[in-house]
Amino acid sequence: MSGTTGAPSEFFYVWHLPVRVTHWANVAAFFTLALTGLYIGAPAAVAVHVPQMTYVRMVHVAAGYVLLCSVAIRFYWAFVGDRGASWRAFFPYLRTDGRRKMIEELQFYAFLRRDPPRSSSVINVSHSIVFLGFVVEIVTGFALLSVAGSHGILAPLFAPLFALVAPQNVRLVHVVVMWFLLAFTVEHIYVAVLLDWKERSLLLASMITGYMGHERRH
Amino acid sequence: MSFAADSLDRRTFITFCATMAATLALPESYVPAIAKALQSAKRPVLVWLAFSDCAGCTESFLRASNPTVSDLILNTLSINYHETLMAASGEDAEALLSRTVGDDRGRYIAVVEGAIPTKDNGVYCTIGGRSAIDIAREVCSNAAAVITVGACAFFGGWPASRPNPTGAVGLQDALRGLKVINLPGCPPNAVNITATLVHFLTFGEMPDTDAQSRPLFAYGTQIHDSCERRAHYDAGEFVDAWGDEAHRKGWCLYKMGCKGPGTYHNCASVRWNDGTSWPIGAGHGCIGCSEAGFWDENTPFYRRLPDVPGFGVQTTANEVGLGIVAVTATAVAVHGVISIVRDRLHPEPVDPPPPSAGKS
Repeated sequence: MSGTTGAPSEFFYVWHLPVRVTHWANVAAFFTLALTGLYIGAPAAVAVHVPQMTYVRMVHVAAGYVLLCSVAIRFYWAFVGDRGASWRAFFPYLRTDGRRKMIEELQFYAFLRRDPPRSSSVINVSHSIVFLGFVVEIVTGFALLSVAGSHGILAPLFAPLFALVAPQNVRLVHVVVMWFLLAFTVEHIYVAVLLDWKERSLLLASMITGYMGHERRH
Repeated sequence: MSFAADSLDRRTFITFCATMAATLALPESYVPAIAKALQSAKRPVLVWLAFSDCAGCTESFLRASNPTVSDLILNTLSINYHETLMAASGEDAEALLSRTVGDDRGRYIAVVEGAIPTKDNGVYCTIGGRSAIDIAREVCSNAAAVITVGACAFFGGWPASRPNPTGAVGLQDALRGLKVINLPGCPPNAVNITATLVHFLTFGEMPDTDAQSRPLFAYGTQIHDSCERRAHYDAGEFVDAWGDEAHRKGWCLYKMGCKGPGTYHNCASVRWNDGTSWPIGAGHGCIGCSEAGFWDENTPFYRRLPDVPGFGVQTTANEVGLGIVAVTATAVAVHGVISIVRDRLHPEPVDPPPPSAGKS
């Protein structure tokens, strides 16, 4: 697998099926949620008479359920799945070698070393924050849904939350965290391209095939 | 005493009973029951306490007309104590209150208007030398029923708004464990106050409430769901600026910060000032005055979202968010350019060591 040209000679199965499926489900759900959410937050004037706000809100809520299921499956997999997808991978700073890898990776991203570290501790930390963002969006989203009317168990479920935070501030958090997740998307795609290029690991394709040109060190 | 014969003709009285039945969402067959209860009621005693308030709730209550609520209720109830309405003043007035609490213990209705300051032993609201919380504790704990009127008695209202220098709270926070019926609003609607009293006189108990002790007949439906402009919301037809074409057409005020979504009140159906109009009907968004903390939490009233802490009041959450994405995009673009330029100036070795032999 050495050399600046040519494909890797050996492949490693790094992304198991639940990881890949939930990744792309998250992508689809999140972009649907962001687009419909931007409309719900600041709807534009229209010329045609269709109940568009009704449709957009319906799609938004449906995508919210998809994200809820996808994140729930990924969380489940973090406890029963392969080692690379384990919840432990998201907290490398709890281990000595994890902290060392993080420093090496940060040196690479800061142009202080040439060879890519071929580990993803810093990335995993950022992903733990993203999953926290997903959880915040799911909680605030369904909480706001409970404000909008009678939805069975939702209202009593979120009453303790609203005892602490007013609905308008829950809505503000819902919007600001969406923007952080959009900013993460920009950074995420860039780092994926950068590592695919520097590592020559077929990282981009691996998110579909599951196979990468070298083994990830977790 | 039977008040109906005194000041009202039968038709007006029955019309009032029908209005009350409709407001309480009772079937028409309850109208005779209400009429009978009001005519045979033995003038239940009512005391109206006013603490940190503006008397706006009293004003709202007295402003109803045709027939006037005061005619109906003042003649049905024996209002023993109400600072704004009573003739007595000073020690005579306070003597009336203490006599009521003593003589009618467990039989009178206590209505509380205004917030209760708790800071510095409640010194910021005293009547006859006694603090509001002291009076409220004695009067409310001996009452047959306790009703709070207005946002202030509900959660503290304006006096409790930031920075809340007097430590004002609503009645249910001042006297924890006390069973109350809350009729929030700034002000509450006279129809709802009257209907709650009529319900108590007719059935001998208070109406069913939500988790915040607000009667469901008045606070069970979201304004957004009963709003006459709701169809414009569903169709994506919104007012963008005060006085624009859409505003003149009566389209939805959602983008102008209307808090109808998330506010539970029956304004859209019972309206105000004898059903004349109501805020959204008059072209102004709802400010959510029947929800807890509305002054602090629902401002700015003319914006969909609160201000983002740390940014100016002119900056919206979407502008802040767009800035976050722009900064991120710029950062990765700079990183990418540096990566490419460095590779051009200092190409990587042709054959880098395999990863397993790396120094790490």
